Amino acid sequence: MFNRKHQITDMDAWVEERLSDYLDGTLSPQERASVEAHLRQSAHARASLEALRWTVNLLEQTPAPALPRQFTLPVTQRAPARGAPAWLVWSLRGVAVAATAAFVVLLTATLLRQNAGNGNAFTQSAAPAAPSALIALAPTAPATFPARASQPQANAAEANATPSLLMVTVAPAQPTSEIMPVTVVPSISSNALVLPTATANSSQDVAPPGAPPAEQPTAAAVQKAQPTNASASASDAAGATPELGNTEPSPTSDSSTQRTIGVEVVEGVVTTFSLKVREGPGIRYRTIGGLKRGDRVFVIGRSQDRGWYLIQFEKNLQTGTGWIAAPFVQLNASPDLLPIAPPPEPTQPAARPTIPTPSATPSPSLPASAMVTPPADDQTPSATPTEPAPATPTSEANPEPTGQTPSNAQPAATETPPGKSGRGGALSTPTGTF
Amino acid sequence: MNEPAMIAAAQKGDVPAFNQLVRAYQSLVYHTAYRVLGDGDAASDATQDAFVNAYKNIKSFRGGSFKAWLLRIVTNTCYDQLRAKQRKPTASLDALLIDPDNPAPGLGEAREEAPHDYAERRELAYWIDKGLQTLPYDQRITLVLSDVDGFAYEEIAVATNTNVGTVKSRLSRARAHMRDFLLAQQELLPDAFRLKTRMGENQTLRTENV
Repeated sequence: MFNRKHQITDMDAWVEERLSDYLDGTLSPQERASVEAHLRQSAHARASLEALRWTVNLLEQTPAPALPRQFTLPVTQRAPARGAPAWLVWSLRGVAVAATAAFVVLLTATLLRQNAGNGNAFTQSAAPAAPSALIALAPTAPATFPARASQPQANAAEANATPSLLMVTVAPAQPTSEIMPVTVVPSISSNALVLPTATANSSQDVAPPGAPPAEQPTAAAVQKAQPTNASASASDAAGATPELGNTEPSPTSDSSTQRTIGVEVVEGVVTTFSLKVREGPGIRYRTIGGLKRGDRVFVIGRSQDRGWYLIQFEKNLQTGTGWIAAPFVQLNASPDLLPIAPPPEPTQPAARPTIPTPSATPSPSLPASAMVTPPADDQTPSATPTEPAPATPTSEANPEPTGQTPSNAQPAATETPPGKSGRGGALSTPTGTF
Repeated sequence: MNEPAMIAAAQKGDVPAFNQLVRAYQSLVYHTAYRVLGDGDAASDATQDAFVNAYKNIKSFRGGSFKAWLLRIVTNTCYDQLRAKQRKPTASLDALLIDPDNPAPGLGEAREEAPHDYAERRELAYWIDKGLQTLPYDQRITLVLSDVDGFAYEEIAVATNTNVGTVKSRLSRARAHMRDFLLAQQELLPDAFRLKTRMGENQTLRTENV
């Protein structure tokens, strides 16, 4: 693609695969160092990187199409699907089961009538000819249907060898108990039938000992419907975060961007339609302003890989500087004359409120006040409970020796690069049927 | 706009509240759908479907980034739209870019650029759309969400129902593909958008010097 004579080596291929992550600043320090070492040697790799950066910049400049119309919904839009009140679903299901049970009662009663001839089925139940009918409703809907109460009765019936037992428990699974559960025990047997007291009385407490009250299962059902996805996404987010730590090397206290001003003033002219000014040398740093073609800038430094220039930028009130992508600036001098400027301080955990936390607290926007890092000598980030993992390698060794920068002074206020991970809010996994 | 309050109200069936969310996000959603589908009509349909689906399912939203949640619906809707389009292909890639005389409400971008710049950007968008359409859907949506819309990896992972590692590898492949595509079209791009090379590296690139 770039040079037909160039022999693609394994290292070229290895680096090529990592250029995208390198641009985003998401490589590990070791990989980053390897990529940079190769970039120094290989003009092919440098050209490849530059073209990739160019591509990303073009994509970022892609103009938005005009909205053809408004997409607001008509006010008559049907109400959202009722997803939340699971108790309603269960209670409806319970009513259906109850209706079925009532039908079975009628059917059985009819059968009994027929079998028993002209007598009352219930009174005839002790006769040898009477069919043994045990209808114990064990609905698949667990626990919400209080027919569970029939279980001990059935056991009791079997233990007593009752020849005939018709016992149907009918109750809607209405957790609010607005409808009284009805327990029908029309078992009139000559044998003494030991029934649990719970079924004998007609109170609404039809649940046998050990069975939870009706509200509990439904509440559990509601909870059960939610947590799988939510916890999965939370753990995803927590697991993913370490990959997203900004791996820009930390400018330790051996360099200064401020001092470079005046040492070498190079002027540049923006050559592209619009160019973003960022807080750091990478497209994952926050955009702090824009330039247009023909704008003139004072270039006061460059990144180690020559891909970005540090310029004077008054709109950045903290440092008065900003970074722009090198391919879109025409300099009046060789960039070799420029001092290498370190990228701003990598993110401190405490200053990144938008890292997805397992608790998934909504924080959709990044407050500007949170962008300023703690003092630069604070190399030990305070552990905040919202930090899911040690994501930011703040104390990593700087893989770029910045030997050209003379002063020990730290830039007055370095800003936090939000990084690829800093632009998002806390996340949750949407669930739904779509 | 108090977004959480609007969401809460929408969850109770308040359509005007939901429409505030629509107004806040419709440009983003339409732009995304437009870049992914490469067609204004399909993007329009997908945008409307996405908001209807979002409203229907808004009770399943339980905090976090509403934008990422919404984008997941958009991603799915676009995919459905794309399959429908493949069954019944329609034309028209042009005629859908910015109309400078009629900036739609809600489109935040200020239209202060000169006509010349506007034409050049439209030219750029044309080639970007051409290149995007040569990408597999997964890579295309990832590239659009990342580099056109500027979403974070985690948001893209939620929107495309995958993990961050997959997002990164899709992004890497998509960018490399787009780079090769755009380099191949270099001579056709407006001059302002061509790759300017520097410092002796130009001989390795098949481009003109600045």
